[in-house]
Amino acid sequence: MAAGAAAAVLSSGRFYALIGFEIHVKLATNSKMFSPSSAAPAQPTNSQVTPFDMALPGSLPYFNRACLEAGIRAAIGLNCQINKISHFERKHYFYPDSPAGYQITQQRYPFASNGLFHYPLLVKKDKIKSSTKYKFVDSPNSFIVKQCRIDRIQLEHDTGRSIHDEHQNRTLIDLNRFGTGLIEIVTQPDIKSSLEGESFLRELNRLLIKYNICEQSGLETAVRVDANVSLHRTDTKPDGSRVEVKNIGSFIDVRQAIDFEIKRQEQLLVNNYPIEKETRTFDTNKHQTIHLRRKEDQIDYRFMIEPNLPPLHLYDNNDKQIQQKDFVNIDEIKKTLPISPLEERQEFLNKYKDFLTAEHLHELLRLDMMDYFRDVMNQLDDNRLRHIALEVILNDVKSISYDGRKIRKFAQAVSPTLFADIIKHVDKRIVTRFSLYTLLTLCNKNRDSTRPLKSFLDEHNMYAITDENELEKICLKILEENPKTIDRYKTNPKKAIEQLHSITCKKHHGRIHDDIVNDTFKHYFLKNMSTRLNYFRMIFPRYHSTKPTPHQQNMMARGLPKRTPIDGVQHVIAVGSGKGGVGKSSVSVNLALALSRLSYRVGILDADIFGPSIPTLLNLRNHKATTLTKTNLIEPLINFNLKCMSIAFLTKSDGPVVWRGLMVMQAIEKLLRQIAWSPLDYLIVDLPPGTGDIQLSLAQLIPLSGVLMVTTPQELSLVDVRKAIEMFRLVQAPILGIVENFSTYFCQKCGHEEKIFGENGGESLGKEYHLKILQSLPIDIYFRQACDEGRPISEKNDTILWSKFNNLANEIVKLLPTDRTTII
Amino acid sequence: MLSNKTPSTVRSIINAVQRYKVLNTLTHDCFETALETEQQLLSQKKNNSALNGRPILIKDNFCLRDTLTTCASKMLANFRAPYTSTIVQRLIDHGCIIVGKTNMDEFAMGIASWSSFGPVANPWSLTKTMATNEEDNKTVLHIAGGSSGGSAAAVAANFVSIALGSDTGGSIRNPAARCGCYGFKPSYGLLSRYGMITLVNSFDSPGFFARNIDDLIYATNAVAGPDNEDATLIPKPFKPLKTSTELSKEKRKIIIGLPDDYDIGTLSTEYRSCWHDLVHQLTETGEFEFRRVQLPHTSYSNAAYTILSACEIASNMARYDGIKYGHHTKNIDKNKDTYEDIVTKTRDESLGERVRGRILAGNYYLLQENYEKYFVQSQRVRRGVVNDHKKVFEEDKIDCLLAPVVCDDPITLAEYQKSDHIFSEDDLFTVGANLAGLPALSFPVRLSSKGFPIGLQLVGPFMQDQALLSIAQRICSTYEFPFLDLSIQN
Repeated sequence: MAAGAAAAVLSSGRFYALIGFEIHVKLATNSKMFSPSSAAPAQPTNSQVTPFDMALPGSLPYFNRACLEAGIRAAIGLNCQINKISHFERKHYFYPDSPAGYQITQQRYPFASNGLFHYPLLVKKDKIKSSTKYKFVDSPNSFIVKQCRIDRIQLEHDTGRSIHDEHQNRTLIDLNRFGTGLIEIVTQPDIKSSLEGESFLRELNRLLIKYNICEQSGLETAVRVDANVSLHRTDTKPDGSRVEVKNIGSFIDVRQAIDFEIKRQEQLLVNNYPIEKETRTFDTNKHQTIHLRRKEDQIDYRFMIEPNLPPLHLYDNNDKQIQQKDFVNIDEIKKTLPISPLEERQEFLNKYKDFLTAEHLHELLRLDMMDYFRDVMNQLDDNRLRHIALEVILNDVKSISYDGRKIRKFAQAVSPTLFADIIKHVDKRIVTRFSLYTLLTLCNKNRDSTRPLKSFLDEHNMYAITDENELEKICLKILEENPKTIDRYKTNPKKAIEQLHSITCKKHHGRIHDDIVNDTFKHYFLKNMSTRLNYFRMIFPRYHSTKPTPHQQNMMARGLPKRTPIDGVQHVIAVGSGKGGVGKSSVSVNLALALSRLSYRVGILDADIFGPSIPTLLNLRNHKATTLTKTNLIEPLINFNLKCMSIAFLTKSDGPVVWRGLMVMQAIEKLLRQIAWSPLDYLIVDLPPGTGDIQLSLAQLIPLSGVLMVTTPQELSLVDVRKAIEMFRLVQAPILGIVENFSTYFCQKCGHEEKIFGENGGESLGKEYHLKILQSLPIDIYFRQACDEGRPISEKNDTILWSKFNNLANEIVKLLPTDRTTII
Repeated sequence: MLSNKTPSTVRSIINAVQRYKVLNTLTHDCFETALETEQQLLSQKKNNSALNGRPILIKDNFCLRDTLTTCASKMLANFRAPYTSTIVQRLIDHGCIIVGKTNMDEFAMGIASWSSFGPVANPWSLTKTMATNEEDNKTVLHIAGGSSGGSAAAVAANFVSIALGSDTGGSIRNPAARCGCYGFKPSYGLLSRYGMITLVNSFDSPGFFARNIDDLIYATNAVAGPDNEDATLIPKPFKPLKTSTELSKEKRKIIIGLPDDYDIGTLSTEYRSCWHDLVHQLTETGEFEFRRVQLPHTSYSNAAYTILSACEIASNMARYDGIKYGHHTKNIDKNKDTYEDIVTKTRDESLGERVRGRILAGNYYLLQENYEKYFVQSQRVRRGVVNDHKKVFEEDKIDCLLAPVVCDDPITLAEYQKSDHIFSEDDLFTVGANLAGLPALSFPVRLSSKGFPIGLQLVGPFMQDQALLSIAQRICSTYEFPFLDLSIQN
């Protein structure tokens, strides 16, 4: 979303943004930077104040070594050059919460400078599948890693807190915070968008916590950000002008402040107003930045070397006199540092390469679950268990923790040990996959983090039912209570088992294993209904003879190409029939036209290699498709606002195509893949009659959104349609419904209705297969004429058919809705 | 009120101070606690320090817990320090009895010890006349020098034998010379500044007044050394200084430098001849050799000192906003006055003209466009002064420098009031030691024709405080100075 917003703002291409940060980090030290009083937050007001903290006359600062060490850790983490001599300076300004009238900082001589920091860009992916290893990842290194230069890091202390008492019109001062150690990290303006900014800050925050520079608990308050945002015309160089947004408290606010500021400045530039140097603040409630003061009004801070503190000397192993104990040795600090988050992620990828991809890491990062993930992984000793844990983290935990926003609370309630225990139980099938979510939610709500898993399971009786006898009893009871499903089994065994399964699950909430209960039911039916099944076999011999076992399915699937969707095409609808001459092509074309009239983007593919008829129907005979797009795809021909493709556009003449099956498959693939279909809402594929190579290829190459069966009411035609329906069911292509063509004829002269091909053929077929008759179309002479002439039917001439096709199109849209807002 | 039965040192001090109220040496006293402390110490008698039971006075810029610490300014008139400075605490630990806080220039800025408590009078004035009324006082009384004038006068008058002061640009040596006692400014970084109200952080040195050098050594030994509150101290443990009895009677020839650059036009003939006479006198003993040396940066040192001190003063004084402590204006218009208005009024009302002048100047020097021109340039001069001294001590093999402290006899209070010089020529003699952080001792030599003490100073190499004091012992043993003693009743 953020990326979208930022990109949209700059999509005009006329401007570019430069963003730099000044980041104040509250150091995690016990005492303050220059005095021995405690730096603990949230204490009674003015209870942590030494003479120095209230600037009593005669008090002196004494530098806290812990602050310096934390600063050096940050400098190492940000790859800074560490200056062996640096100075403290006083920055003078009058403000009630600054008791001395100055702040001690490092303006001119900071202890670290010229750093470089790498951070991964956090782009929100729609969904990632945790089960397949490389499905969504091109390479294991698909992180987009950006870099940002660090100008310097300086040590300074915090100010006190002003509390404004509106009622009595006064300001109270709490000096507890005064003097707590800070580092200020100043970046170069290398950040280009709010997304980059947020990603940078999040990675920085991970580093700061990892290196124990700031407190974990104070995640968002330990880091305060000033953002310098400037927008420039693409044809100009940055002129140094910028707007500073002060004191932003959270990363989300930073993102919103930058987005707002970019938009505001763009507005100014578009209207030819100059961007003035100013300081603004961010209003968290209104999501906008507000003017504070002009830069010209900036006070002169009258910097002066702090005379009470000697220059800060740092040493490394090259220095000879490092033996003295109070010297700070940079190399010693380097030695004690843990690996950085960047290195840690690399280590994870190596360690868990069996199941963990960069994509997973990216998602874990985005959801802020890295730490929890690490802790859980450490609790498990088997990659299989770890893989399950990863899946659960990225699905169930993700939604329970509100996309990671409440992950800290979750991690507290559900300790990694408890979580690992749950995973083990799932793996041992003591807990079902279905009760897992409930179980995690229960654990999350629980306050007592020491409570063992068993007590949860006992209290809510969440043990899975695995005992065969018990399960059989349950199943029998369900069957007894639902006798209708037994009848359903006769017509649609799969559906019946599904229903039984869902009833069982409802009744024994979350305690039923999917596969076991299905097997139990199947077992039951095989055992008890064998005689009836034989009866069914007589009617539907093909069904049972062709239904492969799961094992067979696997074996068969192995050799088949993977079904992959066509880029930029939302739905592919195949129009097929058993027999030829039932009017498939004319139905296809007019359905496409009807959809197009509903202002969908529609294409039509003539898959009848041997008898292409679409060119005739769309008045495109003798046209050839020769144009190639930049991406080396063939441009489809367009007529009546339909993208249209047929083998006839590619072959030389109207002569016959004499090909073997393999060639047919290649041709189909070419027609699907190498045509510039995108963008389309619907692609209608006009199939040849029958159940041949083409139908099979199509079903195996692409995921079909649906199949439309066209038939006449004639019994002869119905027989073949049955075969076709079974074939499509076999390859798991959903059948949308039946279009009954030539259902009736109205005499032109007397208006008498004559059912030429018989009555209710479609209806009985529909009942047989639980399919819906989507539309019944009459025979119409004008329709026939229009088809032959290659012009579409119009509202004026063909009122009945016109409305019938419109209804059909609407029906299709209802069954297969498109996401029309998505720009493909 | 106070018991007079037992013979008490503190009691007699109280009597003397009260008798010579005209000297105005104290801003306020701790007589009652001092008497109590004396009784306690008598009953304990455990401490074998040379300072045990010794009544002392401390300059009013040293914090003493629960006692008013005013810096002789209206700004801090009601300020009771909630903590005790390191040095004062160490003195207390050694059994010193603090009798009171001595008068000084406001925030130690000045050379007359004239504050919101009025001026300190030079005790030698009393040898010539007895003041009668206030108006006459100003014409017959003379300034005591500053800024630690109260401490110097009290020691010179022999109210107490030791008093604590501070030296930023000569604030110990100047009044010591004016009043006729020893005034010692140790090396910068030897004595903790914690709890001493800062004037100029990088020049300030606490130090002592005494009537003999051994007392200076006892006092310095009691307080010197590292302190975890002051980061500018030398971290090495302090090696105690040896008193005259402990020192071997070495007869090594001492080489003393006479800086040509200190022989300025305003130095009076009488004071110059005192300087030269001492040189002759010492040369005749055969134990001393004198050499003329050059300190070429001397003529710039006063300007550099003025700028650097103004900058730090401006910065240090920023904390006096009347919010946390100190004077707070009552003249507030609740509807109109902003935070800035209130701070401005508070500071206008409570800070003296001299102080405000220095704050203004300091802030001007620190402006971004002036920083290089004034502050940085002055630091260069300061480095020049440091190098001048280094060269003299290291290359010319000089043990220490002998120089004047002031040009001429003190002027009367009335004369001082009329003059509009903010800075005195006398500063030239003293600021060098502060710019370079060197140890320096002001000692009385003889009385002038008008009957005022004439003092000279010795300046030694950095951290050679022991050597400096040893040389001073040898010099001072060659003559006898007629110390004043007002503590004896008539």
